[in-house]
Amino acid sequence: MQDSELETLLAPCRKSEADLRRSLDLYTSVFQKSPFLLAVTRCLDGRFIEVNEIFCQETGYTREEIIGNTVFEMNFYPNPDKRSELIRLLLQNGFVDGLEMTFRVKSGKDRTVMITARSLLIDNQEHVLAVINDVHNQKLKSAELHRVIEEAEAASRMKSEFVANMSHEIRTPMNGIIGLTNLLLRTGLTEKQREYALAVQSSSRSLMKIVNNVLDFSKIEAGRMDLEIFPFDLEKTCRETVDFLSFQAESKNIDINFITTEGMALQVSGDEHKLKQVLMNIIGNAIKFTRKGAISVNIEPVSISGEDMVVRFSITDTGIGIPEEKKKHIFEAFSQVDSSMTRRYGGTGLGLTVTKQLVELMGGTIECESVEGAGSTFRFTVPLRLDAQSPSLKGVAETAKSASSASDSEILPDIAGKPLRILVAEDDDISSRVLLEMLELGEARFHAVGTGREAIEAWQQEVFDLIIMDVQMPEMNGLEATATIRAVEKNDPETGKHIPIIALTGHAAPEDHQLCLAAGMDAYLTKPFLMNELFSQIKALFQARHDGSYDKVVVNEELQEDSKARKGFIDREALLRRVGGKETLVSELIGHFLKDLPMQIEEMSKALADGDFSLLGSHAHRLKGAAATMCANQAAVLADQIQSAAKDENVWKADSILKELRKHFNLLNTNIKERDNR
Amino acid sequence: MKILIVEDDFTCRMMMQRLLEPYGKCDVVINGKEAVEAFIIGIVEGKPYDLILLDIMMPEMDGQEVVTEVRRIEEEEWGIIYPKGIKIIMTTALDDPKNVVTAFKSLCDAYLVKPITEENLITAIREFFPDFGR
Repeated sequence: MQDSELETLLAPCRKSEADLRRSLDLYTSVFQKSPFLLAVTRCLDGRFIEVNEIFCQETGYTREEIIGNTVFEMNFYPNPDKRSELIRLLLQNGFVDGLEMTFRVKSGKDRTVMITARSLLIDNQEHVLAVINDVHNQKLKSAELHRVIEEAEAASRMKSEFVANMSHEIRTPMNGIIGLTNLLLRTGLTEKQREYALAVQSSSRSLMKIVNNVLDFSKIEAGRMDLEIFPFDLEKTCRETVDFLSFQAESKNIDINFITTEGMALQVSGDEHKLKQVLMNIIGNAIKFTRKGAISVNIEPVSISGEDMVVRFSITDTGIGIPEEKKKHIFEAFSQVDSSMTRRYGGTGLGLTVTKQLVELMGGTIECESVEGAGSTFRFTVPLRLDAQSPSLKGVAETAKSASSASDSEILPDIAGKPLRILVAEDDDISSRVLLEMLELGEARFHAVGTGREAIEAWQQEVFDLIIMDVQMPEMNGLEATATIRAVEKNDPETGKHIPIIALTGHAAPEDHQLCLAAGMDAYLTKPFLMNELFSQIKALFQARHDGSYDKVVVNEELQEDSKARKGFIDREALLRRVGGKETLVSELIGHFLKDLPMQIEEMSKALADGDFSLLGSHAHRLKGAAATMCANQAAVLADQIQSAAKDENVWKADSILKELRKHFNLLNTNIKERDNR
Repeated sequence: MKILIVEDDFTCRMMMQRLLEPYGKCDVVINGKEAVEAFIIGIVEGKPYDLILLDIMMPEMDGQEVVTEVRRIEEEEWGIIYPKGIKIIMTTALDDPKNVVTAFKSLCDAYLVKPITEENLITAIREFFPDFGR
């Protein structure tokens, strides 16, 4: 055969061989260069037929080390249970999709992989093509994502907590402003001063409201707000809130109508405080945004099952309403309908946000319906628990009169008709302010300094009747200053004076008081103290100077003995039981009572002589309480009779009982005196 | 524990003070007006009272008025809504139902009928402060 003929014959073969090689090359390279780990195994025995380059690369084995060995010999899947599961799924379905497996490489390291496998027929034999997807990186990535989210959440919580703490801190000085303004308004002010003080009060109230809202908001955000579930009377709670706000509404000539569903159960358990807060916010808003018309507050049960009841509250106003497009934003933080409203109506833009948060915290929902220009209705639901027992006291309507304060304050003693001149040495501003405020009310004159050294200088330059001195002060403390003053007084016999000094201490420990007295101070007060404590201390000091001694009550030892008259007057045994067996207290109490009684009788006689029956009644009432407390039963009965005689304005009866009381007491007193003289 | 005793009668207030002072700081005032002032000063100084023992019948401003005023101040100035806020126990020789109702209407927390004994005093306080005196 000619070469050429042969060529001709072979040509198709060559061509098909070349085609085959190309095809083989194509598929081999696709298989080998695939970026996924691919392995072909024979089903029969699990022997590896082929693996690709990246498979070798990632597992660390050479191709030769793998091919011909079984899956079991290679131990790629160390977990026998998972391996069985893989085989079972393959036999059952002929494929596996995304089975998570542990995959062990040559170095012994384990990785988490996702196996996807398909069965194939090669040379009429079942084989498996497995794609092994390393999800390790994916897992890392999602872990990282989780960490970032957690960090962000923690940061946000921290911020909320910071705001909560800040708000709390702001409240401390606010307490000072509000409290002192309130005290200021209780003093005699001129029209102008009163106007200014009321303005301060109004501003500080607004600020406090804002701070409280911010505090609630951030507390809820920080997850620090818990529910406090207690039994309460639903109608009473709502009515209290409405009553409280009706004052505001009246000043704008708006009526608030409160409607409950008849026969609805009202003894419930829930978070009364938060419910009140929500009602206050919504009704308060309704008043704020309504110029004329009325507001109605409706409560009705929407579902009851067993002990659980859901109550719907609807608050409808005839106010300015909310534009359609703004409606969905009104519960978002810092969004009043528009920012110009903030200026016109005030507020933080947090009120409704806090309201919604509170409602949701209680397990309810809130929604709003509104027509711009016509009014709004806010509806919210709150799940509550029904209470079986209902306390009998609650729900009885009788309005308590609102308080009005009289302005007759105590006045400090004077020296020859002139007000007391007092030197105040106190470094803390607030304490000093409060102290001066009190002295002012007591109509004393004062000079305030902040250190011990300044106190000495002031004392040397001006004449004072009294020094009130803080023990702890910068530069020179109160003890050193007092010691210095006493030393100067001693070395200056010309004046021969001893200025009374009252120490102010922060601690109630007896050692501290000893120190004060040792340094030459005359008395001490533990901070914080009350106005009447301060005044009685000052009065005691000046009285002591006049009388030469303190008005100390000497308890007569004899009183502890039983005398016939006294036994009839005070049931000592009963009193002893009453105070838990404290003998000395009983003696002390009896001593005081017997000393106080004649004065009370005198006061009653005077009231009766003046024809002041209401005063007589109140004196008699006071004596009745004291006598009952002292187990002085007959005196209590007589006092009670005087009280009713005073109520009837029966002069004759009051007079005769008063005489009897006096006789009763005189007899007792004579008995005691006689015995004392014996 | 900081307690404010409001009582116009000398004997009664001395007894309450002596019975309570082993367990807490007790301040004493003698009328309703001083009581409201003391209540405010407590807050201003950052050491508010935990409890007021309040006589109902007093000259100047009576106990009912004090409760109303204290609750009004708490709510208006500090946004504290009853039953949060200071605990108020009314003490009085009156034991007629009308006064009890009025007292609760003006939002006091409890009611104690005189004569006061150590036992009924401590029991009443333990309603709100279970660890009191223990």
